[in-house]
Amino acid sequence: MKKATLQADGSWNIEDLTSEEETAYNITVAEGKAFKEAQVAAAEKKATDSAAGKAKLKELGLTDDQIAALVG
Amino acid sequence: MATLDLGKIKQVWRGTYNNSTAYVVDDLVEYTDNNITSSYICVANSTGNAPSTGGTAHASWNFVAKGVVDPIPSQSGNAGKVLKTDGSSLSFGDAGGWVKIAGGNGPSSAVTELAIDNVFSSTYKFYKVFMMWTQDDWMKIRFIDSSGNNLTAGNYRWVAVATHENTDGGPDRVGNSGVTWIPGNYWNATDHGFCLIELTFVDPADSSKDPGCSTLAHVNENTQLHSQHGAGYWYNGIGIRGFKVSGDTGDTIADSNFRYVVLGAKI
Repeated sequence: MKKATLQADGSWNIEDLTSEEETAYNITVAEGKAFKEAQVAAAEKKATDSAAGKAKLKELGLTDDQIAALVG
Repeated sequence: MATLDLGKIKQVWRGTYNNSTAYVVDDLVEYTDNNITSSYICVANSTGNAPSTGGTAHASWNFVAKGVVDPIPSQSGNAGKVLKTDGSSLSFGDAGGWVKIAGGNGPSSAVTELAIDNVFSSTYKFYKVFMMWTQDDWMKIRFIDSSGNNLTAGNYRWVAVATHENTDGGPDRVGNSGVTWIPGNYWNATDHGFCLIELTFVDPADSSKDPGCSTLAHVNENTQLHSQHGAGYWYNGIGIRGFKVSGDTGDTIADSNFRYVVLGAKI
């Protein structure tokens, strides 16, 4: 993997990542990926729970407009 | 044998005008009249007649090279100021609000990580960074401290809120603490799409404060448009001089997909 570092004259100095930098990069990538996946899973669960909740409200006799007014 | 007086056969430089010197025709002098220095030629023998007064030459003198008022005002007491014009006169004053510190495209060869280093100092208090990265992914940012060390530990905290068009989600709120990055754009962009990321820093070089920045990011992800605002910081007082940006595995940063500019402002 390569990195580009800004130089005083505005040019880029391109060189290989050091092993330390590569490790830090990989940690950041893995951390970010895990975070996003957890967010997606949480959003999907929230959507599923929301749909299930709305269905139960409908079973109780509420209209769609009433449900929307309550929970959006 | 008859003697023929030809007078002076060349002009004579007599230096700075002296009021007690007897000047003769074709003598040349330098004289400062009303803060304007000019050179003069004597056209009639003269003693005690200043070459000019109030810009008008005496009858015994003519201008050779007439000086002008220095158009540049005094520099004394104006260190660090810039020369400005109001359209008719010059004066020293403060530079325009934002000063460009660095800017350009990404590197000609694609890289995984980009270090926009040595752009922050104590010279300016506020910094703005504008970036474009049209990659179908999201950007992570890490700081570089004033000694050039990459701040890679899990000391970052960030939050972002976004609204979206053409998607069921949102407004969304995300945030995290104890991680090794803060997001530039959290929601994905698109190759060759629209992407504008704006970071604002205050006192980044001040080691007594936690360095951080506000983040604004507006990107399109195919047909979706994401508009994000947020902030992130490193929760240990330390001065920073730059930052690194990177994406995910396989992402590249190059001159074809990355633009940036760093601006600084004094208070």
